[in-house]
Amino acid sequence: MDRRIRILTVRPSLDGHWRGLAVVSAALRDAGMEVIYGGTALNAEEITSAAIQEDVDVIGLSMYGRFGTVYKVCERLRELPGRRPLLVVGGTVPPNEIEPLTKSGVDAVFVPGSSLDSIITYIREKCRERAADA
Amino acid sequence: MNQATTGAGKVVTTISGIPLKTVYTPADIADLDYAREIGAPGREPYTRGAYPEMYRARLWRIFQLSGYGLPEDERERIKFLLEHGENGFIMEPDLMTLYGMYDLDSPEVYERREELGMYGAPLLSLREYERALEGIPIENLYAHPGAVTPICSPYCHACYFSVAQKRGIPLGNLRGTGEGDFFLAYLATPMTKLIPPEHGLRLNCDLIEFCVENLPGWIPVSVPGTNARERGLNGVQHVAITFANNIAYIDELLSRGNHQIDDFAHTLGGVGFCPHMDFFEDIAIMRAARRMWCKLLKERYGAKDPRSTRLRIHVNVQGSTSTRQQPLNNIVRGTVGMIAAALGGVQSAGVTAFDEAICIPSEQAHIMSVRTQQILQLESGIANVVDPLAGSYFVEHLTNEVEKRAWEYLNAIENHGGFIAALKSGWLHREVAREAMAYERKVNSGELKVVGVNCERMAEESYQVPVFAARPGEEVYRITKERLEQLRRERDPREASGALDHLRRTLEGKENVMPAMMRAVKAGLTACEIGNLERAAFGTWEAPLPL
Repeated sequence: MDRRIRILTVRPSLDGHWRGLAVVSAALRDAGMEVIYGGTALNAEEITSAAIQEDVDVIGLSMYGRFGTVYKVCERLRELPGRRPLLVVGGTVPPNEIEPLTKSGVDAVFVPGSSLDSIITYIREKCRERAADA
Repeated sequence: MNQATTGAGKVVTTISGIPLKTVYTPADIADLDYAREIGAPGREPYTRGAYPEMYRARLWRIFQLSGYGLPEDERERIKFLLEHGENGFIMEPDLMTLYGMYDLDSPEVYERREELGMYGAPLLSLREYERALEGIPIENLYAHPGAVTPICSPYCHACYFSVAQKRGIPLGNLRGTGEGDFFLAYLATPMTKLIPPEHGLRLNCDLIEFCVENLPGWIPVSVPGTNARERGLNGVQHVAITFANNIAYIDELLSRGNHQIDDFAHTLGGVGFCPHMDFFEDIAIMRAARRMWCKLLKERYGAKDPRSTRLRIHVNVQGSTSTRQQPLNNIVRGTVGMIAAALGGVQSAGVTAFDEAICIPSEQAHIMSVRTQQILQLESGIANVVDPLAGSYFVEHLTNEVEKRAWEYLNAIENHGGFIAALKSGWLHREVAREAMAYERKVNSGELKVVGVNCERMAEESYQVPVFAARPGEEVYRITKERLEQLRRERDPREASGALDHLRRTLEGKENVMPAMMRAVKAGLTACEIGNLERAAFGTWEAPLPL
């Protein structure tokens, strides 16, 4: 790939837990990726616009418990003309929520205990595949 | 030690980075002065325990956190735990609304209403507190009324105290605790539009002074180092930051000149710590912390009353070391942490439910947290002898090392201007981020073993835990909104506006906020209305997160 992988990270909830996102962001930066923190308490519209504006390859959402915003982001991304960014969710996602999320358009869900390496590798490989397809 | 490294030449350390030898001998504690540094349990410097008889006189309090859904859902879970042996209860307030005193109708909350009641019920008025506490005999129980953040703590306390008054219970008979916690609200899980830290400090000090004068059995600000540790600080650091926070309260209270150190220090001497799967270090932390508190209060503040110098400890037995993978393993982790806490001589404990990396605790998981403690208390024999590890070359050495390093970290915080300045500048946020990253790297590399996560994994886990689902947020929203509207219709508008003016003047001035807060909740003002007054009076502040 020519350019560095660009990732938009967001905590859509009002919930302030940021440990997971901080750790993952630091690991992605160390792996050479460009991480842009979009902020806290953004809605689906704001997340999608920020992703377009920043021209990112990946959107990373840090979630806990309930996922309405993620489904709305999926809808917005489906409406986008052209290629949409990869959508990755991390956090305390109950096991029975993973399949509905991935069926709706989430590319990957990383639950607590996922290794940093597995996240980096996934994003790198997916972006490489997409670049090759383009 | 959590570092199963047997290779020759490899440095083995505790989680906090204290190097460990293979074996300890009398030489490692040759300078230890028993009378001065250890002493009898219940005597200064309290290394061996806060009380002479410890668990023979009174077992530690089983004190679990619980709450979700509507106030009545929260009440049912509290009653369930009390029926099965919990000795007090911790109410969990709704994160979306009550943590930050947000309006149910504010666009931020409305848009995310599916998250309402995710953890904690939206206890948005005195009526909702009455609903949550209906049928719970609060005159006989030790309680934490959900007062978790500085902005909500005076309100939550005012509601709980008002419920007692309406039942004819004198305030002086109430026993319990609050937090008004900076670690949670400003460091670990900061929301947007916080009130600036110095105003949070003021509200907490008002509450302390009010309780010193009116509720001798209440610990209004129990600093939970737990939340700093779960965010990333190590064991040594979380002791130091807890005391740095307490120093900020003490200095503010002394500068007000209303009370002497021995009038209020006991209220700050009830703190929270967190075992973290490093068995001996966790024990050493409890022992070292008691000795430090005693020295700090005597040497820096000239405290004379034994109540001032005696540290009492609540523990939250590890949330962040729980794993989602093979979740029943967390029962063992909770047990190990609880044994360490008991050997460290804690007064109160909550064990994280084994399913918390997956969902809000189910009844089954919650009761397991209670049973874990009861089995240790009633079956294991652990309660029979006070501080059984005293005199161990290793444990005494480690206690000394923890103390030495915690003083060093406390100095570092003070060199950054003390607790409030270090918080405002973002220094503490960078510290927790760095420490959490260092920990995670060790897990990622396998240097730190976590069973089921980076070793002993299973492609197919043979057992699954049931996923508990609280009442849907939409329903919590609809019912709570109806109730708030009903309250606004039914309350006396003159009383409400008089109480609102009184509270506004008090927040803008220097008078103690609690009498006006009690009046406000009794007049039917809602948490959101009160929060708006607080933000208008103090302004807002955003945590400087290094993201």
